[in-house]
Amino acid sequence: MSKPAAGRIALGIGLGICIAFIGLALLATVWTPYDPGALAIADRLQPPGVHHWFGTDQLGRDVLSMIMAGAKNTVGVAFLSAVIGLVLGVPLGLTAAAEGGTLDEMIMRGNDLVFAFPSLLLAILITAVFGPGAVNAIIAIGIFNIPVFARVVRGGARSLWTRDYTLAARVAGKQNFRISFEHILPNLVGLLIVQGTIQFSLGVIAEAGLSYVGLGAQPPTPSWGRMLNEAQSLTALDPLLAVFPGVAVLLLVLGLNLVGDGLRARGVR
Amino acid sequence: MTAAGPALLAVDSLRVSIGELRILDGVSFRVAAGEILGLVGASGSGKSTTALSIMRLLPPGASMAGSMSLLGRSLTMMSETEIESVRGREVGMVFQEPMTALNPLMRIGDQVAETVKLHRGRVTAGEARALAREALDLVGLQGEAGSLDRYPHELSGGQRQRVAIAMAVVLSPPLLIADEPTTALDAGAQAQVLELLRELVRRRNMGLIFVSHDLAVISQLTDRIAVMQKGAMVEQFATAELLTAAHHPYTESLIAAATLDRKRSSGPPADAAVVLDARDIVREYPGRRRSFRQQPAPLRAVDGVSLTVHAGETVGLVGESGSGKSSLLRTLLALNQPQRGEVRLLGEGFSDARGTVLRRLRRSIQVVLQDPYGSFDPRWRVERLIAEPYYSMEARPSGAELKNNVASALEAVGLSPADAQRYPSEFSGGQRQRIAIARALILKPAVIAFDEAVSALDVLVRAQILDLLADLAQRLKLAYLFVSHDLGVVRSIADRVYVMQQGRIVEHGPTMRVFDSPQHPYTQSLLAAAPRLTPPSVRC
Repeated sequence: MSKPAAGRIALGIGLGICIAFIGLALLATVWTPYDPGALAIADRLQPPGVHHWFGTDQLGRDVLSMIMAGAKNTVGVAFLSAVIGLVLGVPLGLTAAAEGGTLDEMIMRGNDLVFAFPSLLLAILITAVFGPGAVNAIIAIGIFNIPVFARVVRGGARSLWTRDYTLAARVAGKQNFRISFEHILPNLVGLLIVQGTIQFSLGVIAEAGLSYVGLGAQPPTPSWGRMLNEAQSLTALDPLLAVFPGVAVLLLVLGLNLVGDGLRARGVR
Repeated sequence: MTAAGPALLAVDSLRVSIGELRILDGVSFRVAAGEILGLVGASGSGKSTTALSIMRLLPPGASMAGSMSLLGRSLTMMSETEIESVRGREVGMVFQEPMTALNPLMRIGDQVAETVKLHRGRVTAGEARALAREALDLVGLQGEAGSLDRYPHELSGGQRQRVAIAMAVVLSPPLLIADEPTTALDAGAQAQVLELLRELVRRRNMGLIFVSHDLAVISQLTDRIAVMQKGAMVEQFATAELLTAAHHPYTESLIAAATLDRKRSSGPPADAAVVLDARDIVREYPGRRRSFRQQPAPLRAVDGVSLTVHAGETVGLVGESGSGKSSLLRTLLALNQPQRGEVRLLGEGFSDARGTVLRRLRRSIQVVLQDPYGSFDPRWRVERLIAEPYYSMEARPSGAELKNNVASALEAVGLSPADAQRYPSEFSGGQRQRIAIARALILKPAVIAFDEAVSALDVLVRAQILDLLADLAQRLKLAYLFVSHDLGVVRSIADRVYVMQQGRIVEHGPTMRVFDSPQHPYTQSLLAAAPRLTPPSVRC
């Protein structure tokens, strides 16, 4: 099989997985097979079957419904934190590249500071101050996306600033700010889409990690990380309880990375 | 010593196709030992494909027919293993871009020695190094610059090309193929590399195929010239007959393009007003900090330059790369602030103008840049690109008026109004330079600055663009500031010329006076190094 064809297939698989999860998350906002919070102690620890496709947990909740509701939570947190990084990081990167000098230095050293800070520590700090919850998870993960986007945009923009068309725009009397938005940003869209999918997938892992240690969405909101945490003590009894949320995280991250790699290989601009 | 000996290389009715596309169609020629054959043609004429066919280095999917023989052995019938032993050992090759031909992480001595080891199985490291030393001496890289332990980035472009030549000749191949080896070099380095090739051919009695689009360079070096057009051999003749005998019309057009006769008949009237006036410009850049405590000394790119352009006048600014031409140009366009001095445009202060005054003045000076590929935002349509300078107007035309203005600008540069809706990637290099000129014309400026605007173009296209520029200057009473390292181009178009070296103007005056009787030694050396279309007079 030739390389481009393999890349196209990988991109197709990745897109399929992502669309399936996003569809699942959207569906969960209006309908799940059972109420994911409803306890039914009599039905607890059911194996997968006709009524409960993925079985039930130690409190009798339907695992499929929890995975679907958890998808809504995880996809939402990862997406919104990527948006925070994009909205705040892109202007920072564009400004650093356009102005250079002291401002560039200040922005990039500020970036380094955030980069150097362990993300879990900041998440704990935010939760300690504002209390745990999905919104605070979004803020904590979002803050770590800012320097990533700022750095990627600055690099791309600096190489575009060497192109002669920016010089032609300056001769026309355009200011750096205007050139950044008219000429630089549109030519970085491909780069941003690729980086966006990568940050999205890292956000999925980060959200699962935060809710695993109890800093993400709080009960009764279902989340994949907490499902993994609760399943941990029951692995000997019912290993499948850990498998479903684990596989969900794995598949979604795999799908997003396939999309990111596929788009990059196709040279999306 | 021309063409008399038995053929070293004989190529007969060579045909190359990639899929349905025919690249070469019946190419035949011969090269004798000690002979230099020039292969000339516009880009896309198939000259590089011919060179690669001899080495059987065609891209996958290409099919080849016809016959080629080297020293009586057929190259076409050889197996892949046999041809591999021919490459490098019997045919050496030198490419255009010396930096990409060399491995940046490998010392030059090791690179040359590697070629030896590849082809002579049983050779000790010491012997290989000795051969490498010998080859580097042969190409004139002795002493410090030729140290076997240097890396490619420590060498100049000309020196790197010498290393590439050393790699090609270290095994004393009877035939050397050089594909545009001097195109990426500036005039001084080019003259030296040409001299080296001539010397190598004489000493080693090698055959040399020299591929170039530049007839002036070809005429300086070769014994015979083969002209190619659209994959076919148009004609072959001795170099001495280049300017004396009648030729095929295509060859004539190449000669005309390379000679670059004066495009302008008359300069501006003597009492023309000064439109652009730069006085005592100094432009410095912060130097590299060498120690933490010491303030670094600034680098002075432009050092007290004064320059004027009159209405309707074409002024040339020449100098080698690194002479400060580009820094000066940016200052003249008010993109950089000078540390000292002042630029005045139409009698008003331009370099210290701000806000609305600056925007108003910007309308009077426009620019055409070198790179026809980098000059346009790839996401914009031609119409929007050409209309970009309107940004400096308060009342910007829109709708039908905008479309009309863009259409007339396109027509002025010889393109069609329908091109306005296309993207820059749909145009060739020469057409893109026309679009760039249309963009510069749209505001009807007083002055247009050209930064190496024809350097990236093929000779034939270059001649067309220069004709267009001369015509526009005449019709629209435009003043040009023409910045170039190419003396032939400046000679053909400029009324007056400034020569720049290390940030200073060393000589200026009417073009003909400067070119015919240069006063400054730097101007003299520039002129001596520039290849001109005259058959070499002193040749054995």
